Amino acid sequence: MIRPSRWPLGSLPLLLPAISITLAVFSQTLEMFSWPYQVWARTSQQFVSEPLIFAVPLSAAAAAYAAGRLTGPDRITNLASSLRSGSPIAIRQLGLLGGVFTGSYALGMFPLVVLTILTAHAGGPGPLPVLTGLLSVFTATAVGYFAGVLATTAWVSPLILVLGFLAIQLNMASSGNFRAIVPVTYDGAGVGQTPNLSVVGYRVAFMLLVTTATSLMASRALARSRRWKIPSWSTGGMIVLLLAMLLAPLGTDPRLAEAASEPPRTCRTEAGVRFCVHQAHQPELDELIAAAEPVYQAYGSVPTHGEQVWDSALLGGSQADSRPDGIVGVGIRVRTDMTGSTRTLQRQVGYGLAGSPACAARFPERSQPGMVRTVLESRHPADIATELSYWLAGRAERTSGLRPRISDIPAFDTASKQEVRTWLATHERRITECALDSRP
Amino acid sequence: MDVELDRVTFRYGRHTALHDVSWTFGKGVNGLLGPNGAGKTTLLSLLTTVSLPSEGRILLSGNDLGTSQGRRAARKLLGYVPQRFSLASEMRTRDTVAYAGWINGLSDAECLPAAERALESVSLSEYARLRVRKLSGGQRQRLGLAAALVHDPSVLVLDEPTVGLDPGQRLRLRELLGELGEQRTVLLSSHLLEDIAQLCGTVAVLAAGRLAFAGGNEEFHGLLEANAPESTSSALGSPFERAYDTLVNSLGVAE
Repeated sequence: MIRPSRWPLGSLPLLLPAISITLAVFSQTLEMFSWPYQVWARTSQQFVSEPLIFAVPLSAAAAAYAAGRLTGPDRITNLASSLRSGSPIAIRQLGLLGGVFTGSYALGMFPLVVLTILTAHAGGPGPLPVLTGLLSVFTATAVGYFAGVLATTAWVSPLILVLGFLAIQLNMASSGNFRAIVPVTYDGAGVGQTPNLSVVGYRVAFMLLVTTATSLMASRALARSRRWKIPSWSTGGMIVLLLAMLLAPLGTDPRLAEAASEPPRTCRTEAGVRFCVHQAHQPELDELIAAAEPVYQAYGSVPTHGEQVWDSALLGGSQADSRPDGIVGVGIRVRTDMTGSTRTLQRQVGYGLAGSPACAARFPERSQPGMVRTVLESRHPADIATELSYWLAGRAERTSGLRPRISDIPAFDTASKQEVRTWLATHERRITECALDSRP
Repeated sequence: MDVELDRVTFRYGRHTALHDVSWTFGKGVNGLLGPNGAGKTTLLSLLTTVSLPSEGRILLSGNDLGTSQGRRAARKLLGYVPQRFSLASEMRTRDTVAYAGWINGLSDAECLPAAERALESVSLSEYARLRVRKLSGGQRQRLGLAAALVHDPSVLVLDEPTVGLDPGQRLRLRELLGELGEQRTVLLSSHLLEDIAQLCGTVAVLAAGRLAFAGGNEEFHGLLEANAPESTSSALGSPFERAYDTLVNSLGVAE
């Protein structure tokens, strides 16, 4: 029980939002509980992802409600003539609200963190995403509190809830231009990546500035008998700085993550092919080898451009097309659906062995394959490579006993398996250069 | 606990709300009387450290309210019940006063015992656990008083405390203020002559921002009698009120 001198509004205005935040955050992590193991990069990134969608508006609205109820200028418990007016009140009330809501956010994330401690294979928590996530909740609380102080009524709370949700959507509605300032991001550092310190630092600095500015302005307003007043030079300066920081990244395309320089890896060589995965994906190595083997069987040999198969987390995350020569990149996702995972891996290995990454680099305008019928009828080198990838993945699909999907595509259907292999052996250079001009 | 105003002037832009006011008062109930717009609330905002005088000096128990150190020291000694104040209706009576105790400088450990004492002093102990929304108008007024008394201030400033109360509630509040004045310096601002006449040992009258009168209650009564109209047949109100109206008119200010 909190002493009334610390919090006179009773427990409900604190407990109700706190429990809601914890439950909302926990429910947003539930899907990850079905994964066979956790990955620290993903768990850390989760701190600034979906869970904030509810936590940010809820904490802001709850803080606005409390400020609206407690800090009206005519409240007998909040007179400007009192010994403690202004900052002591803001520090006490905002400290409690921010502490409780940030704590409830951390509590909602706690089970996932524990699960990650128990099941992750490598690495540790990413301090920057975790800090940014927690700071986002505190910042939202400070903004909501400031709004409640200025509005002097709890009726501002629903408005803050709606505005909070809209602010969260801002980044998604603007192709990521706001990712340097909005709390929720989906493209932070994944496995094999590190946070881009300048952009993440900017985010942290922006949130700290918002928190500081709103807390200071709330403190000043609380020390006056009138809440609204022409801003002082220092307040005006803070507002200008905030606006500048808000607008500065809009013309840029800020990247939150960059490739790690030496990501830890686990490798194994099977049938002349070297397979490597990021240590965080270590349990996927066997599945990767098992999935890739039928693709190589279909190819009939190990071509020079396919001597290694690497987890894309070792190649700078999603930058699979910029891999070094001789390495086939595959994106590994931790998932429970083994069939889907095998099929996806086979398609990616087939894509690599067919030389499609070279085609994507040479013909960027054709990096997305067209309709299947168009591909099969085209004489463009990129389309012939795509047809080859269908053939390889289709054969592997059959070998693995998977339900036919890609094998239903009539790729190279006029040629026998042996004729395709012979054609492959004689066209390896053209495949690596994306210069195929004929079919088997 | 003397309060001393020395040639105090206060201006809002071009408008001068208080002109050269000098007045000293001490322990007991002191009345500040004046029609609406006379400058009473402005004077109280200066005394309660919310505003600073444009000219002149205010000393509260020797603390100069023109300095931040003096204002801080004075705030420890001050209890203030504004004319219009609000209460969070979902808060409990005792919690409201306890929180007011913290706002007024008490430590967390002191707040609850002090709140209970303050509630007892205004006869609200039995409502301590009640939500504020369940209190009557008079009880709310007493709750405001308890919130101003919780840190045991030596100077208590009340702005129109009896407005909106029924005659019974007004009577009880007057009795309470009388008791409080035995230990403290109480400044009671009112436009109601009856409150001032019955409670106050000294009286000051503000009119159009100027101090028109400052003296003892008997002297004030004398002034009123001197200003009493000869014919009262057509006038409304008590003889006192009619005399006060005449006094105010003689000072050149109509209410």
